[in-house]
Amino acid sequence: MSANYKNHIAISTLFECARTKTELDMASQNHLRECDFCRGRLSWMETASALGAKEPSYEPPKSLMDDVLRLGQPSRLKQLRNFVVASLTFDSFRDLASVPVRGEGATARQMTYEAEDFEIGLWLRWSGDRTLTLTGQVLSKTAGPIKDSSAHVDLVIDGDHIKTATLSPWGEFSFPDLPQTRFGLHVSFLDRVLRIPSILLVDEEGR
Amino acid sequence: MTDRSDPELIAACLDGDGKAWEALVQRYKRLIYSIPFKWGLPREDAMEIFQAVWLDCFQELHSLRDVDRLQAWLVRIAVRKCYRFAENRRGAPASVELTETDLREDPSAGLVQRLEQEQVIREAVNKLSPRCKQVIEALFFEEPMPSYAALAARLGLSVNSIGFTRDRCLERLGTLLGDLGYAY
Repeated sequence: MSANYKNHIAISTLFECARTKTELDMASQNHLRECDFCRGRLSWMETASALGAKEPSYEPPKSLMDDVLRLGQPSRLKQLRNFVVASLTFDSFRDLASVPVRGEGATARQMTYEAEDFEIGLWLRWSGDRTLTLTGQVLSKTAGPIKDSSAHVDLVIDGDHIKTATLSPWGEFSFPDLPQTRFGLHVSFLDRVLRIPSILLVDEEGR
Repeated sequence: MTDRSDPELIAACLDGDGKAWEALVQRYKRLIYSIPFKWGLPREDAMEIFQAVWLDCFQELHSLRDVDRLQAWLVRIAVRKCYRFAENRRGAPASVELTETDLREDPSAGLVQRLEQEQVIREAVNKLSPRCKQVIEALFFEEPMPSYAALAARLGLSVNSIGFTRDRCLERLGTLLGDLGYAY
């Protein structure tokens, strides 16, 4: 409960208390216990004081800023328009009920995604320790392997790009020792990014 | 600093507006760069994490169009990366201030609330008039805090009037913090 405005602690007094640790007199301390308004003021001043001493050190170095700002160059931003969501066209768990990779004790899963002229094959293999290895291959359906030495695949968990793998000359990539969780993939090459939005990384039995 | 909202800036980025990307980075640069330090991570890790968070942000701009709070998303990604970096460094002795260690032990609560409060303060300070911004930055962000006589001289004011100016700027900052939803 706030006291009448005329009784609030002077803002200069609260500032001195927060910034220079000047002790409040007894009347002000009693008022502070009762007054949300003054406690709120003192709170933000204390936070600002604590932040203030460190704030200059939280300024990123210029070279680092330059690197990050370069992402905003028109040529890079243009790439954002070339994000293509790939569609699942084959899943061994779903589409091939009778093949050996599915069923009791299944330790592998094969999936295929397609986007435009490109095909992404994925193979998931579970280990005894319940981690898994994801291997894959990205191919152009008409031209075969992608000719881009900087082509790479990002493993994304809830927006967080946690691992990157480069594509081999044959378009292959691999992520070993993955935890069981939901993840996405971004395949970046030339001026485009193919996205596989979300795959649940657990085996058929939810292990 | 721009007054455009985060969704407006993200939409502008997707339209190829490089200035919008710069505005986003400028708005949250200190927030993101501060997080690894609060985890007790060294500068080289802070630099890597800062760059990685913005790369993720850039690559996720499409999906971020629908995110209510970009700030919360950025903090979440940065905290996760800090966690992974800290895990990788486990066993190595860390030079961490006590208060920061406390924050690190409960990143989901204490750290995030502190980060949000600090970011609101940054935004409020940036909305002040140039003169008030100068006063507030001198009072809170300079170490040691300049004397009132020195501050008055810097601002071209008499020592007698600096108290009034200080109080007016503090009042203004408090109002802006309230408008921006500062929670304590």
